[in-house]
Amino acid sequence: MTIFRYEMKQLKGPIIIWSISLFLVIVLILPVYIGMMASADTTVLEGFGGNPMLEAMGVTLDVIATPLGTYAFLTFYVFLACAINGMNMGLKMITKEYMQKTADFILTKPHSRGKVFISKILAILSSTLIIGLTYFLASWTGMAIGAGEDYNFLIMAQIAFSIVFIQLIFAAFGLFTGIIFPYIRAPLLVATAVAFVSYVIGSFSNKMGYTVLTYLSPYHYFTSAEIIKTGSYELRFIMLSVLLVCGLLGISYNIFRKKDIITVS
Amino acid sequence: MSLKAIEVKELAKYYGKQCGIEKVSFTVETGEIYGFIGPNGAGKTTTIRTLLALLHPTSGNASIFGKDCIREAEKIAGDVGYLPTETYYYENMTALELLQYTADLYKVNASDRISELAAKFNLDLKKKISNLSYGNKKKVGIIASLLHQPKLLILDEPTSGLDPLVQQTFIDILKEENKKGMTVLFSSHVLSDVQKVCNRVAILKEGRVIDVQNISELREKGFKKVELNLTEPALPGLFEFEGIADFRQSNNQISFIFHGDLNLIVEKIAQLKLNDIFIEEPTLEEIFFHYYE
Repeated sequence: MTIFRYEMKQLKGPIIIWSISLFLVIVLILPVYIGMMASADTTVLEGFGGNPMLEAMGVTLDVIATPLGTYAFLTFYVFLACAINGMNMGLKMITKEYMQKTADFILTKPHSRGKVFISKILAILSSTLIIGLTYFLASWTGMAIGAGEDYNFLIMAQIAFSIVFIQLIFAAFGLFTGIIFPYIRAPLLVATAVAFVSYVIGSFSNKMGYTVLTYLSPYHYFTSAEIIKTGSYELRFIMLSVLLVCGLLGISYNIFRKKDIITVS
Repeated sequence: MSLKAIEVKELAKYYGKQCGIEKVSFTVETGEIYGFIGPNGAGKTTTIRTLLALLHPTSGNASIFGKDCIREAEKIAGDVGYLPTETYYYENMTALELLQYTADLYKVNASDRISELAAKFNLDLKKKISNLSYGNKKKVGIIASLLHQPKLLILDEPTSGLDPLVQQTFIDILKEENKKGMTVLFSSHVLSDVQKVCNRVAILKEGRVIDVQNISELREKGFKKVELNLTEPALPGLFEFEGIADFRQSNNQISFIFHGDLNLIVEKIAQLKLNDIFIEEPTLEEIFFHYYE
């Protein structure tokens, strides 16, 4: 718990900044967009036709004109931001100990490497849950302002909590990358690059119809259009997400427990 | 039979094909201050990092208080304090926050101990780690390694970066804690430091322990530094025999370190015409060179 508490203290700033930013963005923008879409004529809607985000999301124009469609459209941008945050958080959780050369300090205390690693994972999990919960509350508020009660609450909640999954998948990948390459000097840059490459792969696969490539883009595991259409997450992608996160964390845990710490010369 | 504080058997660590240490064996008795000397690259830090499970040995094994250093690292860590060569901590913390965090990690309430040690070292605990000088960071490291009153203290080049007064304070604390029963593994290439505090010393060369000696024996075992001022040149080859090291000759001046039967050297010197003669105890540094010929 000591290490977990310390890690949470370190993450306090980013959690507050992310939560406030996402809250403000969605509460301020969502009602405006919903109002705009509801009153938009066909020409305006057709203007969205060429938007690559819509193609990436698999959202059609009739869906985007609804409050949930508008919300899903905005959430897709949030996915990108959350992917960057998740990857950055996972990477930094490991690389900071190497870059600051504090690995010696933490790993010579009476806490096994396994416990250190699990404390770090729990801190990431808590952070993503807090941000996810804030986003859900912000979405609820935004929808209440913009759409009143004219939407499916359960679908909105599922779309909102998708960001927890997105963050966790990228955080697990970040942790894994950090353990393999612990001396990454610019984790945010790497995180941004990975998030965008994954997005581009997803868009490309969607446009070209290469469904296999979709598996390389976690954004597509939580396609809002699909959630709106079926009313739930796709089971295969939920299972894949759980498998991916558990697999990456399991491999990382094993490597971390046995890895030589060669930091101080 | 008392439990060995440290027991290292045939410990080897390779980094790929590069040898870090090779078949290192030594034993540290509970309650002693054990020196670990050798030049840079001799394998001192590699041995220490393996003892602390920061590195995994390629072969051999090591135990601390009878527990395996790798398998039981977590249990061992509670009894061990460690001061690395260079102390790196979380820069955004104050010294006090870092020390409290350390105490929390050891699950001890060490507020009084932190204040007591900080007063001894004249350390401002309110300063951020990032604003501390190298020497002050080292002081934080010393306090962090001592605050839980470990049974074994492992020090890797502990005096580097400390001014002589602080060094003396540190050595006094070490001796005081040792009297209370704390065992110390003191690694250094500053041999005068080892000389001041250690009971025994292991000498490392190229990843191997080449000798283990009592400090007093090491200094009294017949190592002599001889300087001769001659009236006429010495016969060539007069001092070419076993036991002579660091031999230097310039005109009528001869100096060397001798280790062996003193009668032999007196016999040789008797053949010379002397202006002056100095026979003194060499420093540990000079004895050290003798081993590294």
